[in-house]
Amino acid sequence: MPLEPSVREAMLSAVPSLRAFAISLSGNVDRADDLVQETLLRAMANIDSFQPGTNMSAWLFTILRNLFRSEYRKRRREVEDADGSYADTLTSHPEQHGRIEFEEFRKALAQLPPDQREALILVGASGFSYEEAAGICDCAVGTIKSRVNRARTRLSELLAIDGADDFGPDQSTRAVLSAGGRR
Amino acid sequence: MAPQKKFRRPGNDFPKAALYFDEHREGPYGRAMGKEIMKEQKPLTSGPGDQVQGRAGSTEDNGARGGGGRPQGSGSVEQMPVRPSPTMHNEIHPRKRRGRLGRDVQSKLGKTLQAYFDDVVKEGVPERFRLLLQQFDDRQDKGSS
Repeated sequence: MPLEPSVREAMLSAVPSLRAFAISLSGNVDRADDLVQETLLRAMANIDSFQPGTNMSAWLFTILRNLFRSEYRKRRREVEDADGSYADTLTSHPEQHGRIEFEEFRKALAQLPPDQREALILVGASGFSYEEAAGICDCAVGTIKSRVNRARTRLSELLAIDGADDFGPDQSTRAVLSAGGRR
Repeated sequence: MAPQKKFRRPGNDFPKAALYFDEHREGPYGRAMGKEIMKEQKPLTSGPGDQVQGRAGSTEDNGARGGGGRPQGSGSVEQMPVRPSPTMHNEIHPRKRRGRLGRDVQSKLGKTLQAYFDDVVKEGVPERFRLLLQQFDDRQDKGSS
């Protein structure tokens, strides 16, 4: 039986976020796309277990996360993004990130433990609530909160962020801006 | 001083000392046994009894125990052992701040994280995934017909 148009549309709309999540987990675009493809295949094969009216995106994220976990155990010794392919796929926006260079952020994110990273991405980037993220990761809400908190703290340590000013223009730019303001 | 004397009561030491007694002596709580307890306790010079004696008389014992008691006499200051530097307790160890990121830092981190993934999300749905769903539908159609 073909997919219902609404289900099909919900699946497709979740793909961009799924890809971003998969890339952040695996650190490799090709592997991430394979993960997403495998996720969609599993979802379609088990579409009967999906309850209409519930969150399709969260359901797909759960499948993807479980797939990655099972794959991660096999490939634990591999270095994530060893060839830097992930970094090459994304373009840098230095004006957006201020002092934090794109490359630094990527490296810092990769240094986080997988459970903290996935929690941070689910809550901080994918837009899931703590409860939804807990459901995806199959753990308590408090655990997710703790992981997100530790991930943020660790990121700020790795990036040597002490205050919000660190995100803004760098020192030279600020000097120019302040000089321009005095005229 | 009163609480320390309390601990010196023979009754408190009785179970320990009673281990050395002969079973044929007077009952476990008998008078003769009490005397023997006192006799047995004398050789135990390294016990807590020294502390009490030291407080009353010499200050050497106090020093040997790491400065646990106060000097009693006027000449006792010279005999006081070198104590650990008092700065040890005065040093302020700044606590490592953990889990105390400001809201502004948190929100900025979140924005940076989202910006970081914007490029991936903006790519939309790659064609391979549209084809995948289409192929699934086609297969299902053929199977049902």
